[in-house]
Amino acid sequence: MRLRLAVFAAFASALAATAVMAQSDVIAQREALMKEFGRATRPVGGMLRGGTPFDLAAVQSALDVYARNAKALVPLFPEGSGGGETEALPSIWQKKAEFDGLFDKFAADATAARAAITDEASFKAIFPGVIRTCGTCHDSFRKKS
Amino acid sequence: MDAPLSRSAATTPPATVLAWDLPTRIAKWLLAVLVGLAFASRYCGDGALVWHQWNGLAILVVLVFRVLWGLVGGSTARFSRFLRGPGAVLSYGVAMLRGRPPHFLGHNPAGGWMVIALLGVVGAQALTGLFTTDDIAVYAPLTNVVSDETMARASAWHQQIYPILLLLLGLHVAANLAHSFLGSDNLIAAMITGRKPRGTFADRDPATPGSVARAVGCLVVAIATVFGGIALAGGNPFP
Ligand code: HEC
Ligand code: HEM
Ligand code: HEM
Repeated sequence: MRLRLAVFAAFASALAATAVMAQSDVIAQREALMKEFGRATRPVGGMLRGGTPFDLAAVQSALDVYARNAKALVPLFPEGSGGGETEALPSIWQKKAEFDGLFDKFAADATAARAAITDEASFKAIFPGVIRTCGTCHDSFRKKS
Repeated sequence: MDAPLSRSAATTPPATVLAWDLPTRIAKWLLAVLVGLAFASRYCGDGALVWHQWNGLAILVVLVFRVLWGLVGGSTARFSRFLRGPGAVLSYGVAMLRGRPPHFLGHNPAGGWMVIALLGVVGAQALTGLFTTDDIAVYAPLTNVVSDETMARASAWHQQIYPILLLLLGLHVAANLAHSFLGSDNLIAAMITGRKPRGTFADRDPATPGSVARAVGCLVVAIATVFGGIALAGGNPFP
């Protein structure tokens, strides 16, 4: 009896531990993908303002990162991953469809822009519209830490 | 409100005395307008925040100017003249509660510390702004010289300090409106015209204005400090 209880307790705590680990894992993964967004976007921001020279290859690789990571990010916000070391707001899970929709829109915009941006003029016309979604999402779904 | 200075009758003293010299008044109203624009530029579609950043740098220039002017400027602008100890603040508060506060030509003892609080909090907001990013495409002038952690912390502070600033500004405006329209001392008019009706003041009157040459000197030093400081630190002073 006592042994069975001990085994059960050990099993239960192992389960809880993996759940916690899985959760912090998911948070770490999505934050890493977001940081990649940040690193890809920073130099492009300089090009938008004219501080750094236009570089089509860098713009295209940023757009590739957007399309790839936006798809990868959708499953990284599972129900119940709003606690702990995260800047994700509970509103994500109250409006999950809207939240996921923003990632879909972002991926679609990035893919379209990848084809449409061929020179500096089209870059300056199209790119700001693509990254506007970053701010739109952060304003309603990311904590101001 | 403000009786015109009569120069023809040299025997009758003017009905008003100088309270604030021109550089002090320009700095004060410029600061008010620029701080208003800082909020407006953030919330009214200046997507790249270029305007917000230039505006913030202008605020820093005015702040540095005002600190220098507090050392070498007109008599009522000098910190050494209007910053008084806790005893003076307390007795002013008591007198105010009794409804008979003494009149001051410059800042009263409570108001003097409010000026420091305002300058300090506006300064903290502007300084953290230099290290702030929106994590997307806007990176303020000094973001490239600090670590990502420092940048994130400064960005968070930039979002946490301005509610305190708004609170202080609310107090500041309410106190000045109350003094000017409920009390007998029109502080707002004095801060616009620079003059107060002749009367009995608890501090020295009239004020002696700071010299124009010194004001220009302070402005030049302020501009050099802000833009030169950012450049020396390795940042890009032109957002
Ligand atoms: C659909 C919503 C959404 C979109 C679109 C989005 N983000 Fe985020 N972002 C988030 C959320 C939610 C977090 C907080 C994640 C967490 O802490 O668990 C975040 C966090 C971040 C972080 C901080 C990561 C860290 O932990 O340090 C950066 C940087 C970032 N995003 C950049 C971007 C950039 C750049 C874009 C656009 C190119 C973008 N994001 C688009 C929702 C979004
Ligand atoms: C919105 C941003 C504002 C900021 C940042 C600000 C800041 C300041 C500062 C720093 C001073 C001290 C001046 C000096 O000694 O050089 C001051 C004084 C003053 N301000 Fe403001 N101010 C703001 C708005 C206003 C408004 C809207 C009013 C009008 C009601 C106002 C009325 C005054 C008055 C009357 C004084 C003189 C106070 C005294 O006689 O002691 N201010 N302000
Ligand atoms: C006293 C002066 C300033 C005031 C009152 C002010 C106010 C604000 C406010 C209210 C925000 C919005 C924060 C939010 O989204 O919650 C903001 C954002 C920002 N400010 Fe300032 N600011 C000042 C000075 C500066 C300076 C000097 C700089 C840099 C040169 C700067 C750079 C930024 C940047 C880059 C953001 C974007 C942060 C984001 O969107 O997350 N600010 N500021």
